[in-house]
Amino acid sequence: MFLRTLLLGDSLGHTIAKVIERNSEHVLQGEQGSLYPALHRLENREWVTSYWGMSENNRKVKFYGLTAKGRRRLAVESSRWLGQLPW
Amino acid sequence: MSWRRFVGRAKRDQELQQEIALHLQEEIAENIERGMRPEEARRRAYLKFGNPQRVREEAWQQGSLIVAESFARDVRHAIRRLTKSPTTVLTVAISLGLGIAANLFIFTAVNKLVLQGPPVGDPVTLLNLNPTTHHGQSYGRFTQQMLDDLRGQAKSFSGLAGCDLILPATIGGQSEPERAWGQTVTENFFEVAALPMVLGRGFLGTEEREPVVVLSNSLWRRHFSQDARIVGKTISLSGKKFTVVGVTAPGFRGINKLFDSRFWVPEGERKQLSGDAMNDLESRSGGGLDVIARLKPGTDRRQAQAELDAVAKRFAMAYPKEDEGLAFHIEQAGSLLPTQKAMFGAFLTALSVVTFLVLCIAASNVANLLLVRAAAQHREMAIRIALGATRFQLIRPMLLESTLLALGGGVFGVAFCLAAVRGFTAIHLPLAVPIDLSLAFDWRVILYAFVLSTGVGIVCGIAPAFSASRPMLPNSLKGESALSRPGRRWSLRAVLVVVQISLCLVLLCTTGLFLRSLQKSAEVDPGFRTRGVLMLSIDPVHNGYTLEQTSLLLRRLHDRAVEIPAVISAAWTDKVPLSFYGQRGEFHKSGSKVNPDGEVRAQIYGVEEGFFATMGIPWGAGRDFTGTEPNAPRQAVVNEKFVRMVFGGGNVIGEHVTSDGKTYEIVGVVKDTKSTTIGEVDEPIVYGVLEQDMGAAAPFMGFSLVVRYEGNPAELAAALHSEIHGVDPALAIFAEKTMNEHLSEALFFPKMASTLFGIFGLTGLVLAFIGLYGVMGYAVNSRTREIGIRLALGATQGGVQRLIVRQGMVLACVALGVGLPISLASSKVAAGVLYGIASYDWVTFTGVPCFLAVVALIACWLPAHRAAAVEPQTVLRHE
Repeated sequence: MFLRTLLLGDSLGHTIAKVIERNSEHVLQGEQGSLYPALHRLENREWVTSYWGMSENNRKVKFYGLTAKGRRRLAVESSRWLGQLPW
Repeated sequence: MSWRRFVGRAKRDQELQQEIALHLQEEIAENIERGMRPEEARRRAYLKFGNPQRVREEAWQQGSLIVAESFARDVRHAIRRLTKSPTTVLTVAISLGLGIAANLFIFTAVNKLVLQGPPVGDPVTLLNLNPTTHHGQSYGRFTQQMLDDLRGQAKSFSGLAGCDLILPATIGGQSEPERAWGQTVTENFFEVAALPMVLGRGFLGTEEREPVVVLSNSLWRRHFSQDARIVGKTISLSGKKFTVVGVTAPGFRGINKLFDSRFWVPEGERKQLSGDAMNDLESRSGGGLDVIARLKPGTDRRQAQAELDAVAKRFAMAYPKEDEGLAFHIEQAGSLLPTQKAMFGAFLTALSVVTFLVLCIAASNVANLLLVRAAAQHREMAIRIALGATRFQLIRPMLLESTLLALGGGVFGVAFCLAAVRGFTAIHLPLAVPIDLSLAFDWRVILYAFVLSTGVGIVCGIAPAFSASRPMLPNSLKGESALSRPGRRWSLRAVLVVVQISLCLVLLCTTGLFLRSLQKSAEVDPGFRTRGVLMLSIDPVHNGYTLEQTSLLLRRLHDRAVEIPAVISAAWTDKVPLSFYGQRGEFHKSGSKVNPDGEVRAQIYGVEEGFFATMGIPWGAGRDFTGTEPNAPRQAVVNEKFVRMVFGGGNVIGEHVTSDGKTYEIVGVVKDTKSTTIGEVDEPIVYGVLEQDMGAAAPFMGFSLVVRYEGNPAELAAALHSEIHGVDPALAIFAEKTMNEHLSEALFFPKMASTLFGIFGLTGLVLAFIGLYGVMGYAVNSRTREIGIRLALGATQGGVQRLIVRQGMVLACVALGVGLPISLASSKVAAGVLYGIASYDWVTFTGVPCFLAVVALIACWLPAHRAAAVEPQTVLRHE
């Protein structure tokens, strides 16, 4: 799910959390904090990469983005998910 | 999974903290935009986020291996605990160090003889060949003829080379002429062996008969002062000129592991150096060549062996008389022959058992110490158990601690062993041939030390760890130790101490036996004068003299020696008694039929007139030699044992005996003397005239001048030196010593054995003393309350002391009782090596136990004395 969110572009951790919350219509209401360990796991698997950059307010923030491996993984996962649909 | 996650966790945690802070700021800002008050915004943001600490912990854990981390933590704790008690650590390290060092020392010998290959290029494909007969029972050596035949026929090898028996030579040069031993080798030896050279090269294929020489690294260093331009220079070997073509790499002493060769010359030059006809070109047996062979690439040993078997059959058919039953035996180059391996194997195994015993004694001490430490931790253990620790979690740190201690001991052991190896190499063996005493201390030894220490650490630590982690909660929390189980008569510690003392008894009894044997050997009367005799040796034949020249030289030197004022008399001999070697011959009465069983095997000496007077050997009948020209009829003086064995006693003056085609007339009979070793049964000896028998193959040991003198031996030696060098300054003088020193050298092996066992025994004794003292001390400590009560109820101090001592001595007596039968059994094994005492020597077997009993008494009394000094009031108040 994080991967899909990042498909649209690199973003901050906070942004990802908001997007997920909105897209799942507030159903997935886990703690926002658990986002970060999850992102680290993805980073360890080299599906996601992170880098520091400047936000609009000129503050130093950390961006997360997909790697090529991550994109491939997303494609695989999506096709599998699609294949499980009843049609 | 990327492995980068294990690295830089602290940095990532910091970054994460910043991220979390930012996230929260964003969330708070949004909440404020939605219209909440600042405090409410904060609260909601934090609620939504969850616990930041938890997030950090989870992220941190992703970068950690739980197992490795807890292991590292245990190690840190163990090190911290150990540094708090330095005396324990030191005691353990030294005692284990000694035990491990002893084992390592034996291992270096095993390493050298069995594991290490020779320092040649590509040792795997280099093989040793030996011809065998009698279905592989007896191993021989090659002759030149057989080697040439084999070269023509064996296709599995890219090269076959041979090295002959070692021979002595005099190395001339700028400094004093030195006697050294070396080998003659075939011209392709260096090529086949692919030896790395420090300077120059080996021999070329054309140099079979060229006077060229390759020096060993140690000779180059010692005698030629590491001259970097030695290659191409001419040196003198036994009076002949040879050109140096190369210097070998350090550590190469010849392919044979037992001898120390210092130089190599081509086989064709052997006659130049020694004049012996041993490597007859015509014969097929009785050769002295050690053959090495290089396998062709792609061939393995099985194929080579198969081919050699076929070749052996062909030889047997072509030469049915000489080569019957011939086979070829293959070994890795530089290995010992199976017979040699068996001999060394037995010896080293026996030594290993002894060193293992010493290690056991040391390990018992360590185990005891660990038990004490475990007992001191019983409260901590109880709390941990109460908090839910599993047994394994309790045992692991204790095992870790004992292993670390043992590894410390291993380090000490390696250091001790290194020192011992250095010392051993420097020992001067009183043997005529140079034996290679270097031991192999390499990575295998260190690996063995590591494995041994870890093993000892685990073994020693298991029992204390197990018994200390027993979950007897109520008692422990109350203050009692988990180790004190009331109602048990024999504690583990007591058993360990009993084992220690028994082992110690065995070691000390063996030492005692060897010492007594040594004492008896030293008291033996060798049959000749022991004081006031000096001896030295020269080797004219290996200095370039012919036999006639040698004769003249000896006579000249004799005349000049006798003129020295301090000299009473002097005589040449080809062998000084008790020099560990000798020639033998088969003798029978002349004229009688040659009956092989009736032949008497006797020692043969070649001596000068005046020898018996100089050596102080008493006469039995007859007189000394007279008229001994080289071509006159041979005369002989025999000893009384010879007379008894050949003639059955009676007057034999004027009788004749024959040996090997030579007939001797007996002109005198002397009393029996010791000849080869001091512990021998008297042997029959025949003394021939030196000049008359010089035609025999020149003895490798040269000739020795024995001199009876008065006054200062050092001055005499200097005077003799100047006389000899006055005649010929190129003569090497060696084996120079007084008769006292010579006799002391003859006792070398019993001395060595006593010293070795003495060291082991004393080490064991010290360790056992510490062990017993420790046990009694601990017993006293744990019974302070009981002692206080006894004293308060009216016991005397002496009574308390006696009580403690009695309990300790019970342990000691049990140990002695257990150890004595074992000692008696082991002395039976050692009986073969002992001299002059029965294997159940009562002096040793009463003396040593008494000595041990006294030591044990002291070890018990010291803590008992402390116990009795306890104040009842203090103790009864102490909870």
